[in-house]
Amino acid sequence: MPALAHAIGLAVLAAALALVPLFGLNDFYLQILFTIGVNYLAAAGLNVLVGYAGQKSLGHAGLFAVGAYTAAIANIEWGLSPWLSLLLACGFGAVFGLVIAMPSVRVSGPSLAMVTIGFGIVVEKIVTEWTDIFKGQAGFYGISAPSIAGVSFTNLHWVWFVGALCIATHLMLRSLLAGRYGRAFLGVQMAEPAAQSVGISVVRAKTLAFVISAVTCALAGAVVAQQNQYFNSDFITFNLSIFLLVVVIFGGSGSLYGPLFGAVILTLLDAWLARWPALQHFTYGALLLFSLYLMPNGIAGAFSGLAARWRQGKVVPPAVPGHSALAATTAAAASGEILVVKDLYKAYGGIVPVRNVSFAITAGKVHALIGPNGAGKTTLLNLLSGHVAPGSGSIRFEGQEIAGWPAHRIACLGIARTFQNLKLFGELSALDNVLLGAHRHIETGFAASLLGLPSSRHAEATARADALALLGDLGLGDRAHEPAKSLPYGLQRRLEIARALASKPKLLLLDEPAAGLNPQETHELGEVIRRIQQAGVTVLLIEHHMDLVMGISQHVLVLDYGALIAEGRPEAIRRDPKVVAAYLGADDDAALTGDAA
Amino acid sequence: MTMLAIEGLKVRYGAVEALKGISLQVGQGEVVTLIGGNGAGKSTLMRAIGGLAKVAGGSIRFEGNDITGIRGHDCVRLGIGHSPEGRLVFGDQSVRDNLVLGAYARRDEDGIASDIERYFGVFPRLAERQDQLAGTLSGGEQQMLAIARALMARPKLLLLDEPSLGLAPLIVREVFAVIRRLREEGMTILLVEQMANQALAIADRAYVIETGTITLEGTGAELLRDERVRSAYLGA
Repeated sequence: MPALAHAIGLAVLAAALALVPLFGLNDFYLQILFTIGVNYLAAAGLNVLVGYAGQKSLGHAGLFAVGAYTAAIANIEWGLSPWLSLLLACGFGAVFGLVIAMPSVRVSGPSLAMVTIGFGIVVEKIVTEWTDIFKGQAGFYGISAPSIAGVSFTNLHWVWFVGALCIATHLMLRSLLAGRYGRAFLGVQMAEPAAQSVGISVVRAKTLAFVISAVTCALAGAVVAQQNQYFNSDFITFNLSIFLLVVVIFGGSGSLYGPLFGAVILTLLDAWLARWPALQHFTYGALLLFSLYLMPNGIAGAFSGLAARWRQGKVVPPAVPGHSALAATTAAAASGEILVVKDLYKAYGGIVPVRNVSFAITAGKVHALIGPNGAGKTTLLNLLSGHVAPGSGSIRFEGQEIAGWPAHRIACLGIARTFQNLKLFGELSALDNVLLGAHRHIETGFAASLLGLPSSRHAEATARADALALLGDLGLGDRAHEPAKSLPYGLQRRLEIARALASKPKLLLLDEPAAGLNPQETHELGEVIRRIQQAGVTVLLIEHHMDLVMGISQHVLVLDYGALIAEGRPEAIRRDPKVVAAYLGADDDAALTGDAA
Repeated sequence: MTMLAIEGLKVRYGAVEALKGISLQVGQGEVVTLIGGNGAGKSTLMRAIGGLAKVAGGSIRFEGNDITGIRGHDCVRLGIGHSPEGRLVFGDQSVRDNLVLGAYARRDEDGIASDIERYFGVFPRLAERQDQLAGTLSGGEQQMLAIARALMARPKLLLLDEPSLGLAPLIVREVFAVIRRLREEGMTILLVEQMANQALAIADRAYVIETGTITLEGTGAELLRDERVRSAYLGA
C-alpha cells in the first residue's frame, strides 16, 4: 500500500478510536472492539509464521496460555506490577516460541502441524490438571489491570490500549516485512536451497518467525487475562488454536492486512454466533475449508489482485543512483588458488557420485566442469556450495576448511551459485529475487528493521537501487517488477545469475546456465560470463554446450563416474582420447556441438 | 495425409496472449520442428496440442477429428505422446516403473517388455539405473527417461519438447539418432529444440515462432540457409 494511503488509513483508525466515547457504546460493544484487537494481535504474529515463513501451527493456544498464565502468576503469586507482568509475558512467550521452533528445523508440512498440535494439547492438559500451580478450572481471580496515573483501566481504556498495541504491532511488522527479513521469510517458504545459497540461515529465519508469532500471541493472552481480571483453563482449547489459524487464513495469509480482515470479520461473526454455540465450531471448520479451497489467499488475496493492477505503471524509480555488481570491478582480482579440493568423497548407498576427487580452482579464471550425464557434476557442485554434506575429504576456500559447513555460511564467505532446475522465488518479483541475493550485504539489524529506523530505510533504498542497476545491466531492467515465475525460461536462467551476482561473490558456481538457450542466447550468455570474469569473479560452470565451454573457459575439468578423468586447457581436453570416448564422441566437433558452425 | 491441423490457435495466461492465432500442419510421417526464442510460445503450443493448456480460440484437428479442448489423458489414448519440457518424471518410482507407466494405456504385455528393452538399448544409462528411483537420477538422465517414457505409449504423433536439454554431447547425438530412426520407422514428430542447427537438419519442415505468431515457414534446409534465421537463432 502506498505510504500516503497507509498514513491516511492509520489516521482514520486512530481518530475512530479516539471518538469511540462519542458513540455511547455499551460494554458489550466495547468488549467486541477489545476482542477484535486481541485477535488481531495474535493473528498478526501468526501471519508472519504461516503466511511469510510458511510454517503451519495448530498449537498457538498454548502460547496464548503462556502469556495469560505468566501475567496472572507474576501478578498474583509473585506480586509484580501489571506492566511488568505484561513484559514478562512477552518474554516467556519468546522463550516458548524458541522451544516450539526446534522441531520445525527437522520436520515440515503435516508433521510440523502434528508437533504443534501436540504442544497445544500438552499445555492444555498441564493448565487443566496441574491445579497446584495453574488452579485448573477454578482459575486465578483478581488479576490486576495496568493503571496510568493511578487510574485503573476501564473498558474504554482497554479498547484504546489494545488499539495502540495493534497499531504499534502493525507498524513494526510492516517495517520488518518490507525489508530483508520479510524477504528472507518468503525466500525460505518458496525455495529453501536457494535461500541458503544467498546466505540466509533457514534455521534462524524459521526460529525468528516462531518467536515473533509467540510474542504477539502471548501478549494477546496476557492482555485478555488482565482485562478479564480472571483466567482459567477453559480459555485454552484446541478450538482457540484453530480459530487463530482461521483468522489468518480466511483473512489472507501472507498479506499484511489479512489478519485485520480476519480479526474484524471473525470476531463479529463469533459474537453473533455466540447465541448458538453449536454452530460456532462448525462455522470455523466450514470457513477454513471454504478459504482453503476457494480463496487460498483469503480476503486480502482477493483484493490484492485489484491493488496490483492499480499499482502497475506506477513503478517508483530509485532515489539514489545504483551500482551494478557486474560493473563494479572488485579490487585487483586475487591470484593463486582460491579453492582447493582434496580427496572429496560422497556416496548415497551403493551409488558413489563423487569418489576421491582432488582439484584446484585458480582465482580470476573461468573453469568448466564437463562429463556425461550422471557423472556426479551437480553433486560435486552441491558439495562445494554446502547443499550436500561430503562423506569425507577436504574443501579449502581461501585457505579456510569449509567441508561440511552449512550452505548459508559458505554463501556468506563469498561462494554463490545457480541451480540446474531453476530455484527462483517464483511469486516474488525479479527485483525481490535480486534483493534476496544481496541479503548478506544489506546491513540492517533486527531492531532497526522492526522500528523502521532511517539507517534501515537507507540500506534498503541503496540495495534497491543497486539491484535495479544490476538487472538493467543484464537486460532485465524492464521486467524488474514481474513475478519471477512469469518470465520466459531463458530470462529466468539469467535472473538466477543476477541473484547470485547480487551477493557479490568471489567464486560463482553455475549449473548448466545455457540449458534451454538457443545458439544466439548461448552466445550472449558467453558475453555475460566474460564480463563476470572481468569484474574479478572466479567462475566454475557445468555445461554441455561445448562451443560455450571451449569459447570462454581457461581450464576444463572432466568427471566420469564420480572420478576426475582429465583436466587441462580446453584445446588439450577436446583432443584427450579418454574425454572423447566418454563424453564428446569420435566425430569432429562441428558435428557434435552442431551450433558452432 | 495431414495428421495434425491447427487453425488460428489462441492461448491466454491471464491477460497475456501467449499464442495469437497459430496455424500449422503436420503430415503423416513428417518431422516438423518449431524454432524461436525464449518465451515465443513454443512450449505453450506443445502443451495445447497435448491437452495441457487451455485453448482460448481456434481449433486443433488430429487425424481429421476435432480435439480442441480435449484433456491430457485422452490425448494419450488418441495417440499423442508428449515429452514435456523440464523432466517431469515420477520421482518416487523406479526407472523401470516410469517406463511401465508410460505404457499405461497399452494392453500388450510382451510389446511393453520388448519396448523397455529397446529403449534401454538406446539409453544404456537407464538400463544401469533401472531399479533406482527416478528422483535420484541426474538431470540429464531424467531427460532421457522422459523421452523414453513418452515413446512407451507408442504414440502416432510424438511431441518432443527440448529433448536435448541438459544432455551431454554424446547423448545429444544419441537422441538425434533416435529421432532419425523413429522417422525412418514412419513416426510423426513435432519437435521443439534449442539446438536449431540439428533440429533443422533433421526436419522435413519447420516453423519459426515469434511472440505467439508464426513468422516464417519452409523446409528445414530452406530455413537453415535463411539469413534472418541464421542471425536470430543460429548464432551465425
